[in-house]
Amino acid sequence: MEGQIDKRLVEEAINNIQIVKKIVDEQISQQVSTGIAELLIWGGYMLAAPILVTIFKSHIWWTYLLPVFFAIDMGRRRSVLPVLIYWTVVEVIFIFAAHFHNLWLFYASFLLIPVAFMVLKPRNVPKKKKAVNAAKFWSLTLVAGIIGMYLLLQAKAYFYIPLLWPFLITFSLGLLGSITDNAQLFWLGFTGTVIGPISFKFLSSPYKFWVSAIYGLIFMAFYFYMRSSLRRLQYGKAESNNS
Amino acid sequence: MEKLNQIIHEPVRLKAMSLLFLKETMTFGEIKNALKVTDGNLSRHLLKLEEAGYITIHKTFEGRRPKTYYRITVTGKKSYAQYIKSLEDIIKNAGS
Repeated sequence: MEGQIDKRLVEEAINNIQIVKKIVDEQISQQVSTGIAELLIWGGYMLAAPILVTIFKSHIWWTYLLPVFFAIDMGRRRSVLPVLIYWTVVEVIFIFAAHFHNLWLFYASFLLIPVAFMVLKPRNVPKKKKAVNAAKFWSLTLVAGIIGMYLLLQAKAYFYIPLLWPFLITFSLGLLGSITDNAQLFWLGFTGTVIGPISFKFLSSPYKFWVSAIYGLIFMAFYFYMRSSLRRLQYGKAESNNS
Repeated sequence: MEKLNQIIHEPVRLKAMSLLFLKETMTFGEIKNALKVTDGNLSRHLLKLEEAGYITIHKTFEGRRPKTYYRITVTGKKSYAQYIKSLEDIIKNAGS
C-alpha cells in the first residue's frame, strides 16, 4: 500500500516538475524573443558596421547595414511582407541619397524609422497600452537622435555620430530600466553611458568610430548574461535568491 | 517520503505560482491568458493562494476599467521554492 502511494507521489512530482518547466520555458522564450533579442540584433549591427567600414574603407556601410538590421528586427514581430517592402524602399532611398551625397535626403530618410514603428503594427499583439507606450518611447528616442545628428552636422562634428546613436540608445535603455524597476536594464544603460564616452575619448582619431563596436560587445554580452540569468531562474536554483 | 504543500500542489495553482514567481506581479487577465482557464476557475484558485498568504491582491482602476493585480509575497516565494525542492527530493529519492 505504502509502495503504491509512493509511486503515485513520484508520478505526481514528475508531472508537476514538467508543468513548472513548461511554464518557465514559455516565459523564457517569450522574454528572450521579445525584449532582450533586441540587444543581440543591435549589438550585431554596432559590431558589424565598423568592421565592414574598416574592411571596405568606406563609411557608407553604416547606411547599407542599417535597414538590413531593421528588417531583421521588425521581421521577427511584424508581418513579414510589408516589412520587406518597406525596408526595400528605405534601402533604395538610403543608397540613392548616399551615392549622390545628398545628405539631407539621407538624414531625412531616418525619419522613416519612427514612421515604421507606427505604420507597421506588430502581428498577433492586441492593442495593449504597454506596446503603444514602448513604440512612443523609442520613436521619441529616434527623434532625439535625428535632432542630435542634425546639430552635429551643423557643427561639422561628424565623428561624433557613431557615438551619438549607441549612447542615446543605451541611455534610453537605462532610463527605461529605472522607470520600470528593471535593474538589469538599468545597469546596461549605466555601463553603456559611462564606458562609451570614456572609450571614445581614448580611441585614436581615425578609429573613433570603433566606439560602436565596443557598444556592440556590451549589448551582446548583456544579451547572453540576461539569457543565462533568466535560465537560472528555473525552479530550485532560484531558491537561494529568495531565501 | 516528503509531504507536499497541498495548496501549491494543485496544477492551476502551481502554474499561477510559477508565473508569479517569475514575474512578481501580474494582472488577472495576464494570468488567465497564460493559463487558458475560465474566470471562475482562476478566481477560486487565486483566492486560495491569497488565503494562504502566498499572494496579495490589489484592485485599481485604469481609466474607467477595473484592474486586479496579483503579487507574490515573500512567504509565497519561500513556500514555492520549498515545494519545488520537495518535488526534486522525491524524484531524486525514487531514482536512488
